[in-house]
Amino acid sequence: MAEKSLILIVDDDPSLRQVTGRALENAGYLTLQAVNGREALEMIRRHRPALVLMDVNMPEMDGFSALRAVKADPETANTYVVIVSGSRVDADSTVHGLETGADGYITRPISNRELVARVQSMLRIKAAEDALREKERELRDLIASNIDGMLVTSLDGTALFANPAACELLHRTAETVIGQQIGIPLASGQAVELELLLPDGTRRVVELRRREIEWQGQPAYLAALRDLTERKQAEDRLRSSEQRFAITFQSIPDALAITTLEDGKIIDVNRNFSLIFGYSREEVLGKTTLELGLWANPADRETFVRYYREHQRVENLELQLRRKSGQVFTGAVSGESLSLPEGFCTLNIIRDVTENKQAREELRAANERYRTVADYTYNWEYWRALDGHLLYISPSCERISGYTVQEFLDNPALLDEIVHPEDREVVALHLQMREHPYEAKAHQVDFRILHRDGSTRWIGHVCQPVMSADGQALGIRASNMDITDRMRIEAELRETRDYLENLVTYANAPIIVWNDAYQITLFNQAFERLTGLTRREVLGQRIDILFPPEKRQASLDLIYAASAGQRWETVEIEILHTSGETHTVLWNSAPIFSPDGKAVLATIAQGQDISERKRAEEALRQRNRVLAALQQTSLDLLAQLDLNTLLENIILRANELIGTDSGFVDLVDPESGGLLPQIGIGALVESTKFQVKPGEGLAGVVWQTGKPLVVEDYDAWPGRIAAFSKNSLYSLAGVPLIAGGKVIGVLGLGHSCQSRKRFDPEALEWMGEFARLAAIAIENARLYAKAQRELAARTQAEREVQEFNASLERRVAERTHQLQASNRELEAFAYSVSHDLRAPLRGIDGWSLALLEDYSDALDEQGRNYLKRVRGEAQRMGQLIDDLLQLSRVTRLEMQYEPIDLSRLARQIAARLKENYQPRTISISVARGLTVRGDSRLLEVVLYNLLDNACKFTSRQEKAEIVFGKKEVNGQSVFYVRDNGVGFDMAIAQNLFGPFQRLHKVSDFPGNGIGLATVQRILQRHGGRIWAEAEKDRGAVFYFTIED
Amino acid sequence: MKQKIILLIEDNPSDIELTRRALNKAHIMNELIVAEDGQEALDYLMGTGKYAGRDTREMPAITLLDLKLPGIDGLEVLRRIRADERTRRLPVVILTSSNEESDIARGYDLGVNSYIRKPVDFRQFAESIQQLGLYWLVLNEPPTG
Repeated sequence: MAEKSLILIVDDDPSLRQVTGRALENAGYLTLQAVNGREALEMIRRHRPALVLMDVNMPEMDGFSALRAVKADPETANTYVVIVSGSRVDADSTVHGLETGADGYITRPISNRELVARVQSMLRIKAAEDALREKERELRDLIASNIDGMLVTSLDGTALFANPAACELLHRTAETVIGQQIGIPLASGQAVELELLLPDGTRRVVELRRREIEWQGQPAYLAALRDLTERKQAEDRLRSSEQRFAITFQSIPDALAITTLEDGKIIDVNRNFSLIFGYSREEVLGKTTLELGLWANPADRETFVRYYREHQRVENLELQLRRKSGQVFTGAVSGESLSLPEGFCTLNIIRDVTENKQAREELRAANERYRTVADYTYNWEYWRALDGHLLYISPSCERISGYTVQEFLDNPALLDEIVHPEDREVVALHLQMREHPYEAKAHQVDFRILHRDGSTRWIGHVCQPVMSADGQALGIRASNMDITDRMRIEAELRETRDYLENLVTYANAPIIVWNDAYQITLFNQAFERLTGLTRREVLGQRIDILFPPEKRQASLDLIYAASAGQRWETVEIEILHTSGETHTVLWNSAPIFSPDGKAVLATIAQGQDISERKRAEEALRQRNRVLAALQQTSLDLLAQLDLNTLLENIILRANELIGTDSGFVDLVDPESGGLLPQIGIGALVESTKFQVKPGEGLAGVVWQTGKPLVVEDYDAWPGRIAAFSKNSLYSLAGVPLIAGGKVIGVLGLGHSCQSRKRFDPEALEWMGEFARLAAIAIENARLYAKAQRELAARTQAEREVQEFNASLERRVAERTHQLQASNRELEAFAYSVSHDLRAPLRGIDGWSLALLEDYSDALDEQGRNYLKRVRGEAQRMGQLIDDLLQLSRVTRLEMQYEPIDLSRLARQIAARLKENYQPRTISISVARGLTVRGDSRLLEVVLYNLLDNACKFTSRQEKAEIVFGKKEVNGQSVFYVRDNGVGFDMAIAQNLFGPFQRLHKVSDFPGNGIGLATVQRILQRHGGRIWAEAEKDRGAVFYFTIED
Repeated sequence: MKQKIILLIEDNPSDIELTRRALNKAHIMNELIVAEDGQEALDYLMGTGKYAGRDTREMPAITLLDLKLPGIDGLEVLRRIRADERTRRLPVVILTSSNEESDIARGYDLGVNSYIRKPVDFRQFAESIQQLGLYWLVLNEPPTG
């Protein structure tokens, strides 16, 4: 005992516990102590003591109660409990203790020594019991796991135990077996075969062995059951096979002999051997064939053995053999090699063919009459006897095989030798069938031969047994036809078919063939790809499986229509893929007719998967729809010229087009160059609060890069505007608004956190397109606004000009009015002057004259002189008034333009002046042909004044020389009046043309200084001017121009 | 033969006297009737006003008309003279200080027979009156009736 055993002492008396514990510990045990039954139970469960010493009378739980509890719990039931009772306890309580399950009983008082001895003894018993229990468990396990059925019964035959194999064998469960009465009728140690009738009615053969054993301490029988059914069946089969062999061996009509190959020792022979050779079985067994002298020619045995070694078998080898009587006969020997305990043997079948030779002769005779015909047949005919001899072979053999008739006759085996090695098996099989010549019917086989020239020829071989009149088989008649060409054509045909099949199978287009029952008979690889189905799955299935359920009927209707003779051209049918996807396939089909062309045997259909094209078309259509929408949008936008309304429209339209719910537009301010927010709606309404710098926020980045930008989760985007509200905007996409190659702004669209949608690449593309149009519209609106501003400015300017003009006209009118008024005043004044001012002058003059005429006597000379002066002054004043009136008149007079002949006018004036200045001698020369357009009344005044002045200032010359002429100065006509008069000093001539300016004294030259002023005013009114050149005492020249 | 009357329509007393003197100088002794304004001249000619009852069959052989008159001016007087059947053919000579072309033109337009500007030099004026009287009173045949 490697470990010390643990002993639990249960007692309520501490001193007893102490004493007992010390005694046991001194004896080499470990002890535990408990004060009552309850504590004892707990310690037993926890520590599993090897032995418990249990007091009976204890508080709380007494020893018996604790003992019951221990034994009732399967965990602790094995615990070895010894009741320790006091001396007063009677025998009844001892019995009670043992009945309760106590493993031992000790009565106090007891010496320590005795106690230890009792404990040691009890522990030994316990160890023995434990070992026994372990053995039993092992045995039970062994039995339970045994592949043989194990059954334990009591001696009276009641089943106590059955292992799974036994239950299986008996077709019962362990529960239904145990407790049953099972009679086991054999003595111990003997084995017997029993046939059991099982509950399901089947029978089973079992081998049963019984022995006596001790089972749970009681004598019992252990029965081992082994299922013999399988072995029995195998044994039966073997036995019947052996029997069949034995029967066959004996009943075969030929002589059979099994001999060792090595030395020809005979192992066994059949009855016919004895008949043919004349030896009894006993005479030959153990003897060699050479010893027995069976070989007529002993050297043949060597040939025979060599042949065997080479071919493992012989066939119809004709040998000369000798019977016991000494008679030699022809035996056809065939044989198979055998492996037997005696070594390598041969089973030889020996047939006496002496009779056959006679039959051959008969056959030859029987067929002789066909030979003539056969000689001329195209086919290679031959007749062969049963023993292999050729009776006849037609000359065609040479054409077909390359070997002559003679060669075949010399070596009948040649017929077999020229067979192509690969076809020998086929031919051999055919020959075996021919082994039963009693079936009088033709056999046919195709095989290849090797022609003498080495080429391969296909032979169509037909043979038929030939019978004698009494039904005796004589041999066969065979006909070989050269079918090489046919085979080649067939091969080609096959090749073509294979080729076509490959073509169909591996064609890229899906191809299908269905029969008249709409079952699929061909299904190529492309179709497998199209549907995800395999050939194997669909062949034989109806074509219905190919179509999506909702379109199935429509597709089938189309196909039925096609079977009714219609042909589809470009019919679109949807095909279902196992993935659930459908493909649109463009089909055409054609019926396959029966050879007579009447019935439709099958239909072949070829498809073209146009799903991609369809998708592309759909994408194109979608794109066109978007473009059309964009186009319409752009037209609408372009029609809107108010920028604010336009921007609002842009956002609304963009949201509508892209499916967003928020948006903004920022525009680059042309003056400051900054990006200014314009409008925002939805979650982006607060974007108008942020003016971003380049690269700041999404708008800033798009502005800076000029490239679209998409932000998936705005709140998580590192570039977001920090102050922008969270949980408002989900995704955001911005595209630049580009016009004239410059970014003029940013269009942004967004999905709010409510919708949480994203932008797909297509949406971004559309946004780009939209932005291009929007940018044009914005630029358009801006240009329009600018044009409007400019127009307004111009209109303002025009209005100002108009106002100015109007005021000018008003002022002119006013001035004109004023002038007219002053003119009228002047006229009135002039009228008054001419009329009223002159009247008194006339009075002064008249009355002065009257005085002179009537009272001249009363006046002295001086008085009369004075009156003359009065009159002179009055007349001078009259002249002054007239001159002033003329000056005023030339400015007031309305101009009347007409062509004027100045030369003529000047001549008329000159004539008048010459008269006026009589008697002076005055020469006035006038140039010819001087014409102008002007007012004749006024120009006459000019010429008169200038010529008159010239006359006046030449008064001191003896001969006045006056010239009126014209000269060209700088391309302009300048008229002049030149005289040779007194001239004047140019230095004081600056006021020559002012009114009342005079250069000379009146006493020298009369005048009032108004004449040249009048002249200048008239010339000014004619758009001309006047100037003078003069020198004192050297004459003067007055030049003037008149605008044409 | 009845003496031919000269009607002088003139408001300036000095001119009236000087004219009378000039006529005298020229030995024209015809009766001179002076009307000092337009209304008086018309009253005389039409036999109205202070001349009511005058025998209007007796018409001046020549009427000397100044243009500048108080009240009805000279040209208006002329217009009325020409407008009235009785005086339609009456020889009228405008004798005035004005040499305004407009006055001259309008005078002829209204059917004046002659237009004479009074010069400041009385001698010339007297010569003019003399010639005027000679012509109209002697040489000219006045219209009958």
